[in-house]
Amino acid sequence: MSVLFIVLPLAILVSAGAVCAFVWSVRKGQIDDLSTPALRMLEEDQRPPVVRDEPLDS
Amino acid sequence: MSELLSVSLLPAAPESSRTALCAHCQVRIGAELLQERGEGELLFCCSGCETVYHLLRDVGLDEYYDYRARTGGVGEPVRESSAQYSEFDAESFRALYCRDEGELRSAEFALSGLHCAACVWLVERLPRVVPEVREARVNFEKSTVRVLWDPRQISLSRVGRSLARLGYAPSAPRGLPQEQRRQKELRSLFVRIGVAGACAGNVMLMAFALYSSDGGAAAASTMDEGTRRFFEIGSLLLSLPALFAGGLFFRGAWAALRTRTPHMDLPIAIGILVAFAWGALGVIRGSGELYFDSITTLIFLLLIGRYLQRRHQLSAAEAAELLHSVTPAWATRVQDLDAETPALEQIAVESIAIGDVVQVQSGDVLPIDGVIERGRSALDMSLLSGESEPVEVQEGQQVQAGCLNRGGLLWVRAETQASDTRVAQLVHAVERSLSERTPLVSQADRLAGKFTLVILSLSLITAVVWSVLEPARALPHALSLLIVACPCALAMATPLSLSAAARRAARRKILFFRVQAMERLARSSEILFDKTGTLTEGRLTLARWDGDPLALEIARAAESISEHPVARALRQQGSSTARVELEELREELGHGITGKYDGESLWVGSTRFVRRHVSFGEEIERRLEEGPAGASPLLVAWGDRVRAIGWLEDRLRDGVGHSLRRLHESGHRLVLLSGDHPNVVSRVAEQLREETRIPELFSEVRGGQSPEEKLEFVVGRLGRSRTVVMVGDGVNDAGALARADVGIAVHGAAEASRLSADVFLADAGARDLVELMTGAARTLAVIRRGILFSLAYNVVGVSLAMTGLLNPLVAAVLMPLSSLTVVTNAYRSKTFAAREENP
Repeated sequence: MSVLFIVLPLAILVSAGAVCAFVWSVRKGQIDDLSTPALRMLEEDQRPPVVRDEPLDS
Repeated sequence: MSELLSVSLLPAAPESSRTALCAHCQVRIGAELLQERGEGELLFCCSGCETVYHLLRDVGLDEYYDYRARTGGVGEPVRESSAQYSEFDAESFRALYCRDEGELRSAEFALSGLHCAACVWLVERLPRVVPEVREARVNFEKSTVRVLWDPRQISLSRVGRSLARLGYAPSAPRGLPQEQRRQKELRSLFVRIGVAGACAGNVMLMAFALYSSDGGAAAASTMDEGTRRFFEIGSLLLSLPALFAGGLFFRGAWAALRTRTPHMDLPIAIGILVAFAWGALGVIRGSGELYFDSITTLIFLLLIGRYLQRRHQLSAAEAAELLHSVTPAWATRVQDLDAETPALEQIAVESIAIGDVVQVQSGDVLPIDGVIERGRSALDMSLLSGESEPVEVQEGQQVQAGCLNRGGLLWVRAETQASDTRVAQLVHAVERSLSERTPLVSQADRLAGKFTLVILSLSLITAVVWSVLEPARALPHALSLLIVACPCALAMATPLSLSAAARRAARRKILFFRVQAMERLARSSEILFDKTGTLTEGRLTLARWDGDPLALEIARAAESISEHPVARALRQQGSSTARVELEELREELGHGITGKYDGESLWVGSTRFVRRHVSFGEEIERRLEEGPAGASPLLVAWGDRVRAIGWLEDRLRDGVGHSLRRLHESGHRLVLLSGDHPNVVSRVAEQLREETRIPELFSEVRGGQSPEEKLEFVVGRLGRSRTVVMVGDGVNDAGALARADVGIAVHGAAEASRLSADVFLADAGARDLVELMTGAARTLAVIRRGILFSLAYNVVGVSLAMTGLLNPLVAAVLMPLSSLTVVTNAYRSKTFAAREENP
């Protein structure tokens, strides 16, 4: 169980790192617009035309 | 005398009732326009739509139509504009709104016309239309777009013009400082959420370990002492950042203590601090319950609720936007008007100083109140006066911001600053009312205060009672009570519901100047209608012409010197084709026009006016008596004979009958109060009774009412069981509107009426009135639901806590959930419906 004394602080550190990344993203303004991405999600990807590599006559 | 023929001037019904839809915006095209536009099967309602359609085809973006259909978007006619957007190239604009990003530059614009996902899609594909634009990113909520473009290749004004061509008019983003403040506050809240969430999650993990090893009161813990202490201290340390994140609750509670007003944050703050202190004590002592998991989870969830609430409260005031969007952000200032080539500079409207001369081109909106320094033109003053018919203006006349220049170039000397214009004052009035503490809200605040005191005392009682019964449980039970109790519905939900409903209503062009009116509108009312302009269109139209068609040309020519409604009605039906020569035209205000035609004295005017100068024969008298009911006659006479009688009437607005029927069916009493002639008024009432097939549609009909009589009527009806609602538009309604329980000004209302009203219906027609009443009723139902839910929740929660059945952790989760439920109920309820398309 003594491994916990090392692993747990490490986990907390990772967690702190995640929080820092989170704060950075907020400062960069990534959460300012929460409604427009929902609209963009409705877009469909253009499906590329199916290319059939066969000669037309045969 | 039978030379009078009846010539009907009403448009002939189209032979085929075919209608078409505009290929771009899907708006129905009227039969008259069908011949004018379109090629082959493609038809457009206007050249703006036609341009966009071809543009989209040329760049391969016509997927837009499929996309729009798929996502249920709506099209709108594209308004063509000749705006050049040259102000976008100005240095001052660049300094304020642009940012350099390497070799490229980015700029943010406010866009009008964004209303669906397809619009977002289209605007973000601007690079396909203008390759020099590298990226366009829309923010739908703020209705803005950020463009990244290469300034070496094209100018920003060209980007602006391209956007406008697509149908989305760009403008400088308004309210930048507020926007930045809002952004800062919301971001800070979000960071707090993140921190609290991280802490809560980790503390919960450790608490989980502690719980699962806990043998209960009897058995010993299965965890060794060292590890247990490790987890305990870890939980304590990790809840410290969460406490910092939740600092705003402590600040609120401290403020409540200092001002001795009980506030919702008080029990929460007390609960959190006591729990933390007790837990810390437990860690130091080595035994006792820990509550760190409850505290951190509570803080996390409460912060989420607070964030949602603030985000809604701080969102752009949409009601004000309606008026705001009509005034420009930039103006052209002229230095030294008399010089050969006067210097022009583009400045922000806020920078216009009193005494500055600004140049207003045709098609532009006046940016400022002032006096015309030079130039003559015609202004569309519909924003302020409701009159869409252009008013001629010339040097020396006072003009106002918000009016549209429909004529020639004007130079205006500013007499106010941008923030002091009449339009700005109107906007402020609307904004103020949205943040006003209405009686309903103040009442809710007081209740919440009492509630808080009750909670605090109850928790004290619980602690005391349980410390006698089972001391170990005293604290957790009191804590649970403090945490679980939530007066949210009372303190928060009522103002939130009201403002959410008001914003929804604003989107439908129903503007609440005083939100408390919503509560009054929800009850059964007595609705007093003004006739002219409210139930009717408010302007005269020529319905029939009995007599010589030449006389019509003459009448038009004669009335061309007048601004009287009759003159306008004649002008509307088309311009004269034959040029008649008239001399010595003179207007006798309110009565008619005199002049000379072909050497003979000419009279065009009311029956009384013409009768004074010309004798009427039997035929004429008969015609006058048998004229269409409700229409006023206009007589044209020359050479001592009446040559023609025109019949002018004020038509009922579309859908009025339908709306009145619905109102009547909902149980409201309808009264018709008008200043117009009693005969005309009773005729209109009769028409409506027939149309709705309800004989008792109006409980009272009164014509010939002076403003004082209208006011008297209103006062006489106050205090009874029904709310007195007054609906009007003219200046003569202003007094009655102010005095009534609820005053509703309608589209086209004179400014005086608008300012004394509680609600303003910005769209013509009575449809919105019905929506207003049902929306208000629905809003009150939402509020009542919220209060009932909160009451039930609190009773159950508090009972459970007092009897010891509630665990602080469960309480910590339940309370924010209940608050979120109430808040969601307030925001998401469909109080005012969005407007129907293509009615």
